[in-house]
Amino acid sequence: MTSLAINLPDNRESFAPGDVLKGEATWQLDKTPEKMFLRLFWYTRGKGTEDIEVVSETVFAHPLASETRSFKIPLPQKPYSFSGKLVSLTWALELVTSDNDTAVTKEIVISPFGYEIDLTKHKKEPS
Amino acid sequence: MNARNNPFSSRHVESLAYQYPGISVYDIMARLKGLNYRAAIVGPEGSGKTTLMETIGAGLQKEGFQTLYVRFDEENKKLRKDLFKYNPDKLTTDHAFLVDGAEQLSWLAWKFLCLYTKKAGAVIITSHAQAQRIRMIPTLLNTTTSPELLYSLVLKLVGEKHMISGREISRLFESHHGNIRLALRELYDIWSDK
Repeated sequence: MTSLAINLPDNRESFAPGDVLKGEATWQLDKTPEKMFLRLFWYTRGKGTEDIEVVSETVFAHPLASETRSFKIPLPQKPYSFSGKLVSLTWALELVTSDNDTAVTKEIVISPFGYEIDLTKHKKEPS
Repeated sequence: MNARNNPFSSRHVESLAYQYPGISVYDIMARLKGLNYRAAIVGPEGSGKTTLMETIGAGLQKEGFQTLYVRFDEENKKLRKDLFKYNPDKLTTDHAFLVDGAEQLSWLAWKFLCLYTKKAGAVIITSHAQAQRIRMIPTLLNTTTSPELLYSLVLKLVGEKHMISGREISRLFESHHGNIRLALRELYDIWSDK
């Protein structure tokens, strides 16, 4: 049976810019992968072309077929997680095998307010 | 509604499969094979040419081709060396070259592209118009649109519960002159105000 998981302490999903993200990556695979990668990235969704940027990559070398490894990732200062009418920006972690055959993602929020910034609630001031 | 939840976001729209009444992807691939893997997809803007080309690209990959995409548009009309990842001498019959927006190329650029792709096993192009240069390559399919097509695509994106009226679909279709892409973009704006 194949399974991958990214576990964060207390199932925490929201982090402040500059925090150190600590957690565990767990995998159970049918065959031993060459390497495992944990990537921190953000992506946009909305009306226009999507953007994506991988901000950091942690390599788990010499993995076993079934294993749990801990990780520590310093989070960047920006961009914040936000959602507006035209575009939303989402942060996520991806745990993936070196052959890109199996992967799991976990969305997180990076914001100084502890929640995703909702731009749809900020009405334009009448001029 | 925020962008993440908008059913007309580019991610959802681009994941729609190509639909053409009365012909399956299997039929299209068979027709392409019959044309010796050199063919043009011709049709107006927003009629699904790029979507169909990507569908064909996936089909060619399944047949063992290595696909190479090149896109041209209003802002990107020139052939630049960096557009091509492969030395033409290294192209083989295992390579499939997919050119989106071939009508943007000048006659000379088109000639160069023909020479460049000579050794490729497949060359598929999309073009808005049945331009003279397109006549040098047989037409695989003329893409067309209809209010019914727009209706079925919107239904796929929003589901029956949130489906809009046929009259609204007809209005969108007419106001965008049959350009499905623009109609879906207007629907994005309408949904974002909900």
